[in-house]
Amino acid sequence: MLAAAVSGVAVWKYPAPQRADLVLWTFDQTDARIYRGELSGVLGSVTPSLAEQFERRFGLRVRVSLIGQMGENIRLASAFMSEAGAQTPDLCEIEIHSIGQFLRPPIGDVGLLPLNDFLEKSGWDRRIVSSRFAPWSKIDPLTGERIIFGVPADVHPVTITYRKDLFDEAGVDLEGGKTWGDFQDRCLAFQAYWGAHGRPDRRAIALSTGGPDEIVEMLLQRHVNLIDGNGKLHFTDEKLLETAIFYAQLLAGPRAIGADVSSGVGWTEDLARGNVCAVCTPDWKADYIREFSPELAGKVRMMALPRFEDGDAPTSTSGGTMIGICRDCPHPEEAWKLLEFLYLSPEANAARIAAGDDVLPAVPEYWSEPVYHRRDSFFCDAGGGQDVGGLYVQLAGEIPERYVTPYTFQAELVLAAVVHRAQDYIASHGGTEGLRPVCARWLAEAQEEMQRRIDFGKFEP
Amino acid sequence: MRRVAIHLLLIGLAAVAVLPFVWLICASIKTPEDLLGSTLLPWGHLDHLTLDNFRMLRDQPFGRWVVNSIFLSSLHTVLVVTLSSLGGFALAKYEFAGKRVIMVIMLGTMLLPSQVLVPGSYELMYRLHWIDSYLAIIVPGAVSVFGIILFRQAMIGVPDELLQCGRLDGCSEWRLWWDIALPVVRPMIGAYTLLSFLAEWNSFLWPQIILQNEAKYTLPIGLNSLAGLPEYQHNYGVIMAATLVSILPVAVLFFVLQRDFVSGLASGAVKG
Amino acid sequence: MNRDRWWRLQTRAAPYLFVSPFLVIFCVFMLYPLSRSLVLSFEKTIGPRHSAFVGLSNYRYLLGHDRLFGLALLNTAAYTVAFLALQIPMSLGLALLLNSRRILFRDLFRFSFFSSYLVGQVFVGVIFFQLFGPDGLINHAVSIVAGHRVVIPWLSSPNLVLPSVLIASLWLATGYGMVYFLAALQSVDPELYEAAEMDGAGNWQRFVHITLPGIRPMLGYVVLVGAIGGFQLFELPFVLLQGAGPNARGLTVVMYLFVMGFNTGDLGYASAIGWMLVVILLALTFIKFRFFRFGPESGN
Repeated sequence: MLAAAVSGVAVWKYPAPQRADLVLWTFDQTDARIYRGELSGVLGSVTPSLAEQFERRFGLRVRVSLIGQMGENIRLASAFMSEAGAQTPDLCEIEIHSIGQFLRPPIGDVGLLPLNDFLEKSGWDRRIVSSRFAPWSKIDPLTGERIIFGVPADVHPVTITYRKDLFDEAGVDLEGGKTWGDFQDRCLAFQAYWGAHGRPDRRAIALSTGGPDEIVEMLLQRHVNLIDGNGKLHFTDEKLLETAIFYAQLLAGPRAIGADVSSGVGWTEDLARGNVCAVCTPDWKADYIREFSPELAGKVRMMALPRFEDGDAPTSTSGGTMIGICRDCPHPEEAWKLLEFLYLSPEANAARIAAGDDVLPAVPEYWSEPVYHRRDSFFCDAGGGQDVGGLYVQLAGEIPERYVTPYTFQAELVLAAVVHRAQDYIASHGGTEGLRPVCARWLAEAQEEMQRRIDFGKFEP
Repeated sequence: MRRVAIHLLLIGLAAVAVLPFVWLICASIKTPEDLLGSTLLPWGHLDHLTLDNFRMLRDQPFGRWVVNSIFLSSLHTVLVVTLSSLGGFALAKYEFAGKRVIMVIMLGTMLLPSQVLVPGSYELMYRLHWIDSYLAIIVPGAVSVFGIILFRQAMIGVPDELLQCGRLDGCSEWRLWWDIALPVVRPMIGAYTLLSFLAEWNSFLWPQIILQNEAKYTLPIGLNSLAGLPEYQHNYGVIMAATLVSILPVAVLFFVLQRDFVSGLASGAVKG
Repeated sequence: MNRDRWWRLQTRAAPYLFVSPFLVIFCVFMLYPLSRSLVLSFEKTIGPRHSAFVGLSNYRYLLGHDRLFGLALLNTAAYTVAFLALQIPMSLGLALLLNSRRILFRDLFRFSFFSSYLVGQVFVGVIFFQLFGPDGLINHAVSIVAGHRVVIPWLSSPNLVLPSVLIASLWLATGYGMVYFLAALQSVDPELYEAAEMDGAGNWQRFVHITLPGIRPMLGYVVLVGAIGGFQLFELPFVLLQGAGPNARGLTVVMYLFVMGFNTGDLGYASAIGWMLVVILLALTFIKFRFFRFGPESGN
């Protein structure tokens, strides 16, 4: 009881938060720090903060609330669902894994405000990479128009980062191969060399045996969305079957080149130890290598993704964040001003760069900034440091469209389960012979199950 | 000979049980470089051990989370023990209209996964304007069906003669509860205090939904939000230091109440 | 005279006064949300301001077509059975070892076994996430036993998900069960043992004929609590596996409820899952009452 009393006084004494004209919810710690200006030693500091700059310019007070991603999702969902004028913020940042649930209602009932008019009026619709609107939008079944609910923060092109030193030692030129098939052959040669030189456990590339990340990246490369913008399923596409079998035999059987890595950011350590020697790296992931395995400086190099066939993109996309305005926001014009200032303005880009965040923005006109084009000695190259940013910039123009529906991530899990079964098949049969019809059947079943789920989830008032 | 064997066996088992704690303590005083290099301690260079991880907690509103957690947990405990013992006393020692109905409904809800309540509760908190307020955690948490049944079970053992004597002596019913019933179940109060403090201390889902302001976070939420940051996923020594600090208060509380706890359990819920 | 009436009044009103704070809070903050969720389970909910009555459609899909729910149920049941099958003998064994008064440092042993229960599920998830790493403590221990470096992919192999979650939760809960059994053992009449000894009963016979019947109510209670806890498992795998785990082998019923409600946004369906769980738990409790004759009424 004493503890309750003492701590109660302490809690009582906390200053109450100030009232604000605009409230923004974010789940992203770095963003929150950039907006609010509380940067710890790790990241350097930005003064005045973006929120302060905005207040000075527009005379509107801004409050940025940092909320755990799970908490934010639950709260937004509940708020969007309660009657009239719920406790929604004016703006919110949403991560790509969470957006689907909010897009489930019919367009008129999505809790976020359609931004098409704002984007058109301001001209930003033409200045932002258009494929990046895909995850945050929904196609109107009546008019076929794409209704956009969020402004993308990023492009997130994907490359492969590999241990140049180890591949050189094995005498394998990984970048010489242009197709995934070539890539696999080279990796097998690489593993054969190391098998004979004391590291039979060494695997060429990090691929997930039970998760969907890399196979989904490969499918996007081939412009296959498991569920496309119109809500159509593509499990039974020929390309998907081919990719699934190819992916499975990368992980099982005599030609396996891939292996799982540690969870969290432990994979940088796996790369440093040479347990795996290549990793698929979207731009946000590449930073982790530098940050957490600095001993890899000068030992790694980055390359575009191999393709399956002509017409495939030499890159993919993984992850993403957007900012949107809530439908209940009483003054959307002002909210739009804040949105523009935090995401699209030169000040915002400068603040992000100053904070050490060099993820490529979704606005191509900023891609010419020198920070995205410097030679980086961490990545080795003949001319003393590879221009990694330049590679990302070059690939960013070829980003495939990625759609997200409420069922996309479930569909990905279902696909991962099929691929895992295929791996078991290959492991027990010693190869892919006879797998094709079996796998096609599994995929057809998966499609049927997902279709039933989607039909069930449809809402007819 | 047999005694020695039993002791050795116990020591071995206890070592296994405590090993994760040992590991936790070791992890919290290692530098990021040593975290991966050594399993327990970097024996080669023990001079590298550091308290930096604990110092880094000061960069976070960690102290505030500790205070918040202590506040919420202790207030919760006081309320829930008071209300449960009052209610349990009434259900054990009085006959009154509706008693059966109350018992049946309570038993039914005991089995309910609390997650079923979340959507409806959130809506209610919104209507009450209790979002981001400790009220939303304290008030619904002040009742525990488990607690009231526990106290009812224990207080059935309070002799009726004792209560009648009290009444003849002119005690009010309130005094009967305080002076006669409560002392009889004292050990169980100790046990239940610990259990409810622990439950609130570790509670995760509901506070995560309700609390919006970082400054109001409790330890599990704060810690989980720290653990999600890439910089700490790598340097998880900080997270482990934070975990260690989070466990300490309950460990102290348990050590103090240990004897009560065991005898309380014996006298409480599960009398045959 | 007046005083007398007051006295009678307070005697009569007392029980109502005593239960009323409990009852008010209980009704407002439990029964109301509960009834809301029951209504929700017959609705299809979507986005703001819209829900439609769909009768039993949620339940029909749940039981007839939903393979993920089937998987979640299977995972959860397998976990619960395995957990009880391991936890009960381990806890009881520890309690029997510690029950003798001749054990030195009993309190210390008891504390070291029980202390892991003080760590919440979230914290356990955070700790074991590291312990299960490729070069974590557990693989290290296995390597020492095996004599060479072993990397068991505890958290990334579908078949190891259940064992991993079990190891973490047994570490969490074995000491907890032990304390309950210890409490029960101490209330068994020592004279019974002495009498049995005089009759020449062996250790095993004493265990079967005296100890087990003596602790039967507690055994029932621990099984019941374990089963309920098992079926409500959520936070530990959610933090440990950072989701449902490989091939969704770590998906539990409550996790599925959470995902459907707050990721897919169908609170109606989520509520239906919750009520299915209620039915399952009620059935379990019913079975238990039949077999163990223990209940809140038994104290009478």
